[in-house]
Amino acid sequence: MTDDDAELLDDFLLEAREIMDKLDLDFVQLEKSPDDDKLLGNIFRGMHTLKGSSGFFSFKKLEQLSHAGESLLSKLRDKSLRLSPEMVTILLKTLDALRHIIDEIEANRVEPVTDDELLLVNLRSLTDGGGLLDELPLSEEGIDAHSEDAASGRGVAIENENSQHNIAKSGNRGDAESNEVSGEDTEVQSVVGDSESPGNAATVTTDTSVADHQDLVGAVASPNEIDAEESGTSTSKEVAPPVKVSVELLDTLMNLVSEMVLARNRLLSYASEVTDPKFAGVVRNVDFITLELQERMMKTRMSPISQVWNKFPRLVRDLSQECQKRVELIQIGAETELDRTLLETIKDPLIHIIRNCVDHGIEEEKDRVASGKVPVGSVTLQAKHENGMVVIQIADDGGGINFDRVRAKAIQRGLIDAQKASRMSAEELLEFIYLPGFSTKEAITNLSGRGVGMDVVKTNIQNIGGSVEVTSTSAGTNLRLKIPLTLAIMPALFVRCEKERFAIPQNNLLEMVRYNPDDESEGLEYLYGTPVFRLRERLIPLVFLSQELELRAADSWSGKSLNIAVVQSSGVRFGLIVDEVLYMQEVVVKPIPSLLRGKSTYGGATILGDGRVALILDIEGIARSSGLSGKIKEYQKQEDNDSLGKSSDAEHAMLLFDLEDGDRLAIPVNQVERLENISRTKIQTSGTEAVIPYGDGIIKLVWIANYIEGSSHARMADSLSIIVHYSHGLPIGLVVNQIHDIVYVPDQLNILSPPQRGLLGCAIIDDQVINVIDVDGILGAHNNRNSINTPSLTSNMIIEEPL
Amino acid sequence: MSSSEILSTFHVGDYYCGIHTKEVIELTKGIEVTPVPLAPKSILGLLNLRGQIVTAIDMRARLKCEQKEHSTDSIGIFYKYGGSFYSFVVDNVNEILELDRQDFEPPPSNLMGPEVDFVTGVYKMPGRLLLVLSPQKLITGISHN
Repeated sequence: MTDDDAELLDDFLLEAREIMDKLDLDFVQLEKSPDDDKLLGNIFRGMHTLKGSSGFFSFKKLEQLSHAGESLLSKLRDKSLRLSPEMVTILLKTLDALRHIIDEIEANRVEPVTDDELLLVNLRSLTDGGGLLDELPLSEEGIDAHSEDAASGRGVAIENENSQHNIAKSGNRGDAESNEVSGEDTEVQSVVGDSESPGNAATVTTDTSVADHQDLVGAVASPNEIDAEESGTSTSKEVAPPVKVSVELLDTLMNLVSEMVLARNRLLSYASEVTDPKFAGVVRNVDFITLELQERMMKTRMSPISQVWNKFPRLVRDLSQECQKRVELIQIGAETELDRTLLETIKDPLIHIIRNCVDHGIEEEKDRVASGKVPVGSVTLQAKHENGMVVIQIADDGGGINFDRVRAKAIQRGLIDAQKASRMSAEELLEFIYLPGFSTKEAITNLSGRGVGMDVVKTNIQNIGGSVEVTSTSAGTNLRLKIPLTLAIMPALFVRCEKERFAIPQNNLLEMVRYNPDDESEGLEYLYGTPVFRLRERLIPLVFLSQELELRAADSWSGKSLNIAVVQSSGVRFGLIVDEVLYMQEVVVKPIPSLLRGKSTYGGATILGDGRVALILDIEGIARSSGLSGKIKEYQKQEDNDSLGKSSDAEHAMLLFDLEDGDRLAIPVNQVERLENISRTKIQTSGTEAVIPYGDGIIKLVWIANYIEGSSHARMADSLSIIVHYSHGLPIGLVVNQIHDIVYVPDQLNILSPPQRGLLGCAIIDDQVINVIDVDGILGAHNNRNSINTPSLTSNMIIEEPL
Repeated sequence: MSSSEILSTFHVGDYYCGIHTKEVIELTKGIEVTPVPLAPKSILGLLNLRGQIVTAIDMRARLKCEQKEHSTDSIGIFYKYGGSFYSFVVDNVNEILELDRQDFEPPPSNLMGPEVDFVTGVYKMPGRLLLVLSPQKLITGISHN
């Protein structure tokens, strides 16, 4: 028996116990109200489940008994028999016998040797409308006596021989579920067969079979030691049965824990005003426990993604048969956990995507062979945690998206004109597949082609704060879903609008910009009656939050500076003007009360540390209600094609910074994880490296100036600007003097000759030379600084890296 | 059927009203309400009752009384309906009265105005009338607005 099987068996035993506990109660209830059809239905189903599962594990006795019980119950359910007290007695006795068998299985992993013949006969007699045949022996004693008398029973080995037969039979019965009675004859025969089979299996046989079993589970034990082994397992099994807790209870607990966190926050702010050390100690303790409690509580909401994925092998099998393709499904990271409420939401999108992969993605077998691929297509599902999000990748090795057909379809539907279409890049064309009703499929099959698909996938994923990315080549299509770990808690930016605080979900937030009318480089303009803002050569429509919420009259902008939160939702990017930017905070999201749900302006509410309620803005709702998503989308597309389309094709976004000597340097934005400002006093050492503590880990610091030719190092300033870059999964802080802005640098850099150490090349922007740094080169030089013979550098390091 | 019923009484503008005590969770003074822009007029905003988000209903607006800033003396009457919490914000709360059903009268058929939807009846009190309000109707009436 493998571990999986053992686990399955444990699950079965657990389930069986639950069923029986429930049946106990139900039977008694049934005696009181014999006409309760629903109750009878429940009992019947319970018994049926028990029978089905025991058939699966080929626990023959369990199956026989539960089947006999089920037959009686099915007659009761059909109303062809009426419940009598004898029936309840015998059914309860059946239950006791079943429970006994289960106990034995749990202890020994094999069925016990018992004699339930009388019980079976009586059950059948009652089923056939007869009465009780004999006085039944007291079930407890009778069964116990039998089980201990191993010699009188049949060998377990013999039962195992029958098990194959048994499984086949139970399969048949499963098919013929409705006409249980027809299966009755076979059942009786097999029982007769069993009882006739010679009771020649002596104690020795039983021992061997138990020993066999022990071998199978991997335990090495001689028959003599079995007793000890068995008692050992039985006690350990009883210690930790998992407990089922209702979802409501968990939610209530979750709620209380969130409350606890808020109460703790209040306590903390109070404690900072009090200087009593005893009090401070208690508060610290409460703080720790609350934190722990919150973490554990979050855990209970998590479920492995395999709960959803388990259904996919079957799905892929059915789909591939239907499409007459051979497709294999590979699952990686099925143990990745996420909030169980999210699991439900991602199920349908995933099914849709997989369907797309098999139906559209994977080519016909002959086409695959022709293009040099293996005949069997593959769909790979991969899940992993990444920066506090769960990333699910669905990749197929099919033919990819046919961009020409997307283009043709877009022209045909009048979405763009032919001239523009020919200029569109692959990424831009991919945007079309998210439009409702957009399908490149010629014929509608029952699998796909209706064009309701990717738009629904995208909407569903976005509704839970996630995002969808597609890349596609002729070697296959790769979909990347990014999903937050949990919905209940999310980071949000608090802003002030008039007198109230509002929260903007961080996943909608792109950046914060402060517009100063005196600054000439960027500006506020009016376009088609909409205020727009020119941000890095891209026009962004503006929405005044105060006007949107009708807190202030329109057109009241007085020419003062503006705080703009650049947000994005469903592909619409706009600037939300707020009065003040306050702070970032993790918030516990609570649903908006039903009376206020008519408005789509709010995505939820949260309770702040001071006990007040704050509203969480629904960015998509605001985009819709302000008419942006309809009005701006088309125009923005053109705008994008003209200005940004260019920059995404041939330009790279770079973060501009300088070192002490004023040289302008740039680093590609995609190599920047985040920016930090740290105090020099926080720097510590670890071996030869300067590090700063960050959260639970550390960030290694690298002084860029040391590795760039002709640069001098920064003087001792009190605080350091750091660009955090991840290399091989580890954070590295690149120390610079000052960070400026983001610029777009052409793809083609001017390469200096001879190549300068630490630089990739340079570009000229606004008559200024911008040097692009070679991050990998710098890090390589840093790591080799002790081994490679660069004395100046090494000596530099000792002086420059303050320890 | 009991011959008497117990009502919490309160004032909203010139109206003297009551709702059944058994429907009331608690009365709280000094509530901090977060206004909700764009919400229906009768909704004062949201407030926090031990971790539950509560919809605060402005009884002045609901009863179409003259509008006036709510002061710190305003009292919230908390009430649970359909799994959600509501708070009726009133000017002040009077005593709890046990009243004889004999004095109860259904609303007069010529009662017009906004009250007719949620006034279940009237008690004749010495010198004035006590309007018995239905909390459910007070709430559901808003969503239909």
